[in-house]
Amino acid sequence: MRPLTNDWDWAYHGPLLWTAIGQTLQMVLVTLVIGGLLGLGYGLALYATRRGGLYAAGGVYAVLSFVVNLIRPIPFIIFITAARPLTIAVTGTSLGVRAAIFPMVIVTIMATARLVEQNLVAADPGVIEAARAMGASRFNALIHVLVPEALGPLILGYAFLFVGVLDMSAMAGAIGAGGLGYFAISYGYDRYNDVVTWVAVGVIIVMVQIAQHLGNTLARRVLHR
Amino acid sequence: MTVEPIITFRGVTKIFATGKDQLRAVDDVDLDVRRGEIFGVVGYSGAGKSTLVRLINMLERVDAGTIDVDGRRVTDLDERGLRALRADIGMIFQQFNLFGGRTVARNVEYPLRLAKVPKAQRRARVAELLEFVGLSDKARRYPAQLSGGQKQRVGIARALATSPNILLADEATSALDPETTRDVLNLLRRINRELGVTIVLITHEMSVVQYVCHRVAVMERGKVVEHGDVYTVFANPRETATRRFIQTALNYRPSPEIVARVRERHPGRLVVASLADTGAGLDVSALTSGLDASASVVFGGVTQVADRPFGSLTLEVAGAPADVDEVVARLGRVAGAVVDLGTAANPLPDVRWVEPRDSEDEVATR
Repeated sequence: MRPLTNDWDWAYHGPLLWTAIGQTLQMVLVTLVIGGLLGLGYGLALYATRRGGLYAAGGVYAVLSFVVNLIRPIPFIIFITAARPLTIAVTGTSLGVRAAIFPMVIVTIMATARLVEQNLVAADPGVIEAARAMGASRFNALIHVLVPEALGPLILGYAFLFVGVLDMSAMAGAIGAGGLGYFAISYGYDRYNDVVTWVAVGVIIVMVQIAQHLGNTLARRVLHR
Repeated sequence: MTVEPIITFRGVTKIFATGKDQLRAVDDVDLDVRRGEIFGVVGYSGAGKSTLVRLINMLERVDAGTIDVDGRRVTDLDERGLRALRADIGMIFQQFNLFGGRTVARNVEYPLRLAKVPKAQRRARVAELLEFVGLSDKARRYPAQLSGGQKQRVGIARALATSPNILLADEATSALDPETTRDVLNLLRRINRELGVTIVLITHEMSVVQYVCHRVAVMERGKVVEHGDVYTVFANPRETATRRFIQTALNYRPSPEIVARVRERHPGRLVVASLADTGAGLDVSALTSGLDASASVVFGGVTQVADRPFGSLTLEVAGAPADVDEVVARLGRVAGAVVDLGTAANPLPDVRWVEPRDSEDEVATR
């Protein structure tokens, strides 16, 4: 057992930090890709079924919207535990990185859906009308015209989402998924080692900065304004 | 020009539900647009113009009546049929509606992709269209890098990509400055003349109608209140709505307030003369020749409608009373319509003046 000192020991903390970074990146990236894509589909469905939308269907919209509103307000730490039976059914386990990714994906789908809906609503409906006037199908107008037109804001939205997903991953330590959050709490806070906590915080800040920078750069490339 | 109609409206009605109220945006309209003409639809905002043209390519569905376009009953078409129809009808918009994430060339290419034109042909067609609208050097630019006039020319090139027979122009010049408007209108004229495209043009600007349209329909509250040859409709408006529109759009006829102010400096006999349907100008010198009277223009203006002079002049006639009467009588013989406003001491009302519509009457549909 190490003495309870306020310091950073590369030999001891270094490997732990690398493992934690790996776990966090795995959780965040897998969640962002799967949740982001499914959320895009969900968001498109929300947008299209809205009143006055391309596939306006009030009932469908109400159900889709209700589900989002149902899941979004649940604090993530509670959602992880509440979703346990479903997590086991889907991933076969209730512990570890895989088990953490499942509830993270669900929450990310819901957050992405609203984000996509908002950005599409804010996009200029004139381009849809123009595409329809040229003979585009509703699907074509939605996927090949509206989504590309809203791509810049969507990318910025995903960058924003990255922070939320990173935040969720910090709580995944609760079910043995490890990650930076777990590292900061177990090796920093629990052992009165503030330096370790600060290092974890520093790494998270760097990750967020990189993600935001990537998002900004990509958005600028597709915006053309 | 042949008289064969390319677009026929019969008893067409479109109703929008606004809360518990119903708005008859288009109300029982019968109208023919002839093949090869530039047909203007004018009226104030909320008159139903935009809705009317959107019924032609079924961006809006009719609630009653039938529309035939180029031999097809569009009101019976299903979604698939509509997509084919729309490839034959180009449309341009007030706000251009270009795809901001695509280059100029890719904007123009989009309808060709929809029509599944092979790539090599698409390239050639895009180049040809950009050449036609004079934007060959802007092919790789993005819409945000273009001026308003250039954007609308991209919109026009895109609308013409699939070689449609009909072009719908929804306030296509309303967001442009006068000079650019002129350029775009000249382009529309060229498209009409060189390509034989029938153009249906919505506008609230009189200058646009008088510059490019052959025939015109005046809309008010969903109804087409008057339509016909541009010069006839403007020179001889039968309906109050038309007179009101011309009056506000041209401002050549003095309002009662302006008449009162004019009288302060010109106390003599005031006469408002509209230019005759013949399209001839007004020979002012002939009015007073041999008489002990003078006639001076104190208000008004003359412009060109369908390449003929058109306008209204307000004259002050002064001199010996009998001679003044003779001047007014002569004016009545050469001018289209004459209204005697009397003298400052003995004023007469302007019987042809139409009160402007109350602003609260305005109904916004789009």
